[in-house]
Amino acid sequence: MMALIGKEMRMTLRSLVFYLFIIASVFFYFTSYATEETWGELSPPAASVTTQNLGTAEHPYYGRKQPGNTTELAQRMKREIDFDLNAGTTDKQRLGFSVKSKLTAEEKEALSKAVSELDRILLTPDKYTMANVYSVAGEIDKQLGGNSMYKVGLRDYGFPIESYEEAVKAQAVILSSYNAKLNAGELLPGAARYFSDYMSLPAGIFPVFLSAFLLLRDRSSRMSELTYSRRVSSWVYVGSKCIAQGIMLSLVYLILAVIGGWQTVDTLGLTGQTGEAVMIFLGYTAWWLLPTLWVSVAFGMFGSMLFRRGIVPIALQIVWWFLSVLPLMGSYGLNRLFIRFNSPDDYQLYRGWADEIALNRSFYLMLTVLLVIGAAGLWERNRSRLDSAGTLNRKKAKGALAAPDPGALR
Amino acid sequence: MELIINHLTKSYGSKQALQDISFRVGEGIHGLLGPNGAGKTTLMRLLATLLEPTSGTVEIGGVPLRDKARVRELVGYLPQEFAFYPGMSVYEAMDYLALLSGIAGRGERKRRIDNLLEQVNLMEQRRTKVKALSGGMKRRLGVAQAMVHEPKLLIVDEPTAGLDPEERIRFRRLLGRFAEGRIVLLSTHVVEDVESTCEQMTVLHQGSLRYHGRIGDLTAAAAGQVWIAELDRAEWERDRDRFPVLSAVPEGNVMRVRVLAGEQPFAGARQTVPSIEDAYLHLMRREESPV
Repeated sequence: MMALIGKEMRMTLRSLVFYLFIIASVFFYFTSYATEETWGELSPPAASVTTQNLGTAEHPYYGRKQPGNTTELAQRMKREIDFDLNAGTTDKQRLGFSVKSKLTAEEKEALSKAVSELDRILLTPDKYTMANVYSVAGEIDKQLGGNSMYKVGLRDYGFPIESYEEAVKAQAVILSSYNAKLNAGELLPGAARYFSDYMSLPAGIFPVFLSAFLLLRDRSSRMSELTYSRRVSSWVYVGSKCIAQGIMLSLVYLILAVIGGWQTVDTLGLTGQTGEAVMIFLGYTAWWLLPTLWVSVAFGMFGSMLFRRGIVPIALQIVWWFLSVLPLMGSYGLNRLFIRFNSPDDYQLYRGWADEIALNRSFYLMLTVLLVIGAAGLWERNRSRLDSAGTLNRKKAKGALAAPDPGALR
Repeated sequence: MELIINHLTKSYGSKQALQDISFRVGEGIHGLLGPNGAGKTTLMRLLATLLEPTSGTVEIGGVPLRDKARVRELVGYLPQEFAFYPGMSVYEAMDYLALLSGIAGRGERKRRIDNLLEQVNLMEQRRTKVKALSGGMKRRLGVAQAMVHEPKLLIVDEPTAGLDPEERIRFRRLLGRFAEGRIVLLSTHVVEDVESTCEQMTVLHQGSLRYHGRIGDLTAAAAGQVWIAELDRAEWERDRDRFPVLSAVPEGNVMRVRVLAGEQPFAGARQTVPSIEDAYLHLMRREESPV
C-alpha cells in the first residue's frame, strides 16, 4: 500500500487543481492572517485605542473598546436589543449571509424578557460574570431560531471611546491584559488560533475540488476497466488515494503553519521563540485544520461514489461551508465543518469552549474514517456494475463505431 | 486449467445480452467471434468481474466467479476501449497497474515490465507519455498490461485492431507463447487471427451460442457450399442479389466472385474449399444453431 500511496502522491503533483489549491491557501494566508491588522492585534496595544482624537471636537473619537466588565457588556447588549425591538426586525444568518428578519410576537417577547434579565443583572452587576451576560444573548439566539446575530461570538458589543480620559483608561486596561496574556504564555497560542481560524476557510472548501474527481478519474480517463478488473482490494485502492491526497494537502498546511509561526515571531520581534511558535502553530494546525481538510477529502470521495457525479459533493460542501462560516466564535456543534475562533485573545472564552472543540474535531476524524469506508464500499459495488449509470451505453456506442459490422467480412 | 460457463444469462432490463450460454474452454487460444451486439463484450466483462451475471455460473480454474477477489488474480483483461491517466509514461502506467495487480516488489515489477515491453516492442518508448503513442503502440501496451501479473485466463478484446501486419504476426507469436498452460480468450473481427492462432472457437449471435467447437469442424460444415466463378459484368449485375456474396473482385470486364450456395449458382461455377471466413458467414446464415 505504501508504494501505491507514493504513486498517488506523485500523481497529485501533476494535478493543476492541486497547484490552484496551494495558490488559494497561500493567498488566504497573506490576505487574512499575515496582514498589518493581525500584527497590530498581536502587538502591544497602540493601534486599536489611541490617545489622540481621531474624530472632531464635536464628535471626538479615540478608537473602539470592548466591554471590560459585566455592566458595560449588559448595557451594550441591552442597547442592541432595544434597537431591534424598536425597529421590529433583527438580523439573521441565511447560508452565511446576514438578512433582515421581521420579529414575530414570540420573538419580541423573548427579546423583552432578555431586557428584563439584563436590567436585573445591571442592578447587582458584581453578582454576575460576563459569561452570565453572554448566556442571555445565547438564550435570545435560541429563541430566535439559532441563526441570529445574538449567537455568542458573532457580536463583540464594542463601542467607541469618546474622551481622552476614557482612552487612557482603556489603553491601560488593554496593556494590562496584553501583559497578562504575555506572562501566561498565551500570545503565540492566540496567534496560532487566529491563524487556524483564517486558514480553516480554504481548508473547508478547496480540497473537495480535488477529491470529488479522484475516484471518477478512472472512468473519465477510460481506465476503469483496467483498474476495476485488478486484484487490488477496494480498501487499499480507495484508502491509498485518500491518504495520498490527505498527506499532500496536509503538507501544504503544515508548511504554512511553519511559515506562520516563524513570521509571527519575526514580525513581533519575539527573539528566540521561533521553535516554540512553530510547534504551537503545527499543533493547532494538526488539531483544528487537518480534520477539516481530511473530512473534505473523504466527503468528496464518498459523495462522488454515491452520486457518481463530482459536482454534487462540491455543491453540498459549498452549502456546508456557508453553514459553518458564521459565527466567528462560539459555535462548535457537530454540524460545523471547521473551527472559527476569530480572535487572537479571549483565552478564557477558548477554555470554556475547548471541550466542545475537542468533541467536534474528534467527530470529524471519525467521520473521515467512516466516509472512506463508505467510499470503498460504494467503489466496490460500482466496480462490478460497469453497465449502470449509462456507462455501458456510452461505451457500446463508441464500440459500435470502432468495430466493423459483420458485413465487413464480405 | 479450465473455463466452465454454465447456463450464463445477462439481462439489461427486458433485453437479454446473453441467453443461457454454456460451454467449456481448455488451455490454449480460443477464438470468440460474432457480429456487433452478439454479446461478446458482455461475456468478457462478466469474466473480468466488471458485470454481475443475472443467472448461471462460471468457474475459472475451479474458482467460482462470485469469488471476485480470487478471480481477479486469475484474469487479465484487455478491453476494446481503454486509456491511461493523462501524463503517465509507458513504464509508469505498467508499474501502476502491476501494483494494483498485487506485485509488491519493485524489482519484480521492473523485471516483468521490462520483459513484457521487450516482447511487445515498446522498450524504446518506456519513458514516452502514453498519450503520445500511436494507436498500434497503445494496443501493444494494452496487451502488455493484461499480461503483467501472468494471469491464468487472458481475455483480449480486439487486440490486433490498429496493428500493422508485421506487428500482428509478432503479436500472434506472443499470444501463442503466453497461452502455454493458460487460457487465452481472443475476441476479434479479424478472422485471420482466429485462423492462425486458435484451435477452437465460439460464435455468439444475438446473445446466444451459435457455435462452439473445433475450427476444422466449422469449415467442414460449410463444405460443398462455397462456389467460385468468373462472370462478365452484365451477368454479375443481373445475378448479384441471388446469392450471398463472399467476395467479388473486378478484373477488366470480368468479375471473379465467391458465393455461398447449396447448388451450382452459375454455369461454370466450381466448388472450392471453404475458408474460416466462408464457414463463419455460412454459419451466420443458418437459421438453426448447430450447437
